[in-house]
Amino acid sequence: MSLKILTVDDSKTIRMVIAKAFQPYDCVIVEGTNGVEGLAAASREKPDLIILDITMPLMDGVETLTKLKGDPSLKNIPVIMLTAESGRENVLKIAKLGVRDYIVKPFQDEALLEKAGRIVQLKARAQEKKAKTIDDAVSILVVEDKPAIVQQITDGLKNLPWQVTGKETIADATAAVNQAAPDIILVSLSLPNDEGFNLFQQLRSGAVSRGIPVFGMCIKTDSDRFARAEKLGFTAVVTKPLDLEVLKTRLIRALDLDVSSKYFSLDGDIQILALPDKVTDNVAATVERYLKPRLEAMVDSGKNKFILDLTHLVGVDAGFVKALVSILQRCKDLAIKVQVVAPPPVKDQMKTFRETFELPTVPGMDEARKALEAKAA
Amino acid sequence: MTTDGLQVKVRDFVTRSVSKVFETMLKMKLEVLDSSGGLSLEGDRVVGAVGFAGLATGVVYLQVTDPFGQILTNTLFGRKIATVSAPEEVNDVVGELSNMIGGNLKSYLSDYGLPCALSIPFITRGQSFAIQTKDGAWCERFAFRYQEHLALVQLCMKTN
Repeated sequence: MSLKILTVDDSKTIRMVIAKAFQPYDCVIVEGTNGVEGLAAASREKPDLIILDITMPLMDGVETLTKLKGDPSLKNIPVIMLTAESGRENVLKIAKLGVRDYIVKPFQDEALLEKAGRIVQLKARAQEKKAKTIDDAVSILVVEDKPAIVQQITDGLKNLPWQVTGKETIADATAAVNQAAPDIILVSLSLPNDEGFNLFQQLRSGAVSRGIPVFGMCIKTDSDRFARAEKLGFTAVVTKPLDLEVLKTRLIRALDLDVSSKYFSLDGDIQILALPDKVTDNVAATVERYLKPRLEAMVDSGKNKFILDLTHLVGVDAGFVKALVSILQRCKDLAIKVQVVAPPPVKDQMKTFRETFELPTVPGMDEARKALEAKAA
Repeated sequence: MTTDGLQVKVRDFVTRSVSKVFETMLKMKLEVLDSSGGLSLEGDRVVGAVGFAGLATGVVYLQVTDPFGQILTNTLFGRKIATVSAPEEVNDVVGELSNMIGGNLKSYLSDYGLPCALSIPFITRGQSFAIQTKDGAWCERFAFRYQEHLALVQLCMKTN
């Protein structure tokens, strides 16, 4: 899994220079603008290396380092100190602080990387992996001592090519993770003896497991566990009774899955957007997220035909109308020719809204294609 | 008051230090100019300043034009030269370069036996910038060129 490097410096310039230096390597850069933010980030992220400036507002590097060394969970994280002062006295002072190394500004990337490379193993960044889509297999590990919850999750996600595996104890869960790291883990926070939280800490300190998103699950009224999980840095906390649609949406977001194929497709040189039976806030947000890049890709490739397919739509409400207006405006802004397909019941409902009262539509996809061809001619 | 011997050494150090900062961070080789000819910057400029106080007290200023500040910012951040960077980013870059020049000077003075503490950098923007000193402070001006751009450094200091 990727190395995690925390940079703590009040200068955005330095933070960007450091991020740029590590760009060719497989690492994640986390940033803090002062000692207070740096300590919070260190607690949350448990980085492999901290690069810490000395002179900062709010809490300087020396105080930050002292607090890091005073925290049992953070004291062993190696620190490289950054300083603009190269004098003998300053260097001696830094050496006494117990840092692994120091670097004086100005510095070249190579010097920083050499010093970092002596402390952590820098690996070249692999080629960018293609983003997983909603149609790809995903493995979910559910750590829950109540089989009914595991079954509920399995049943709720059965329409997707996702593999749900349930483990009742953290020992079994740890073994499962070591054998084959899942894509995402759901942990019950009501496991006895705080085992759910202990498992999270274990996962975060593992080289392989630290990058896996971890959701906590707790009873809706258990605000203490909810708050504790959020503070510890769980990727998300979901409440029981579980809302499977909400869970699905949050899992998709955590895994950063490309769900555009649910709504977008290409038919020759025509981009088709087929809205589902109801345009919920989630649907509207998903469409909005993918529409702009799709339209821009169309323009870049010289295409300008777009069909908005409302065949599956059941109810026309304010949410749908708002989304429709936004879609049409975006197409208009890029001079894309749009044809709206609306069966008669949908068309009748659209007449009850001012924004869509006079919107021209056709009843089917064939008519839509012919209309676009006619516009292009 | 600052002795002649110290002035010569500091003058030489600042010239080398500014060149080193630009070369190390920006891979820009500066041409050191004769600043006695009254070189000045035209138009909007960004000025970064860092103070130091102790047995040596003073301020070191780095002045560049806004367009040169943009170039410095884009170079440091790995952006295309024509990119328009936000003023805050340019401020931060000029401030950080001043910080490095000031920090190195502070270290030099401390090793010389004149310990002092450094301030955080501060930025001024405008079209007309002049420094006036009093109480026998020594001021020195340094001029550098990179391609068609000028960078002016001004140091005012005294020893206590």
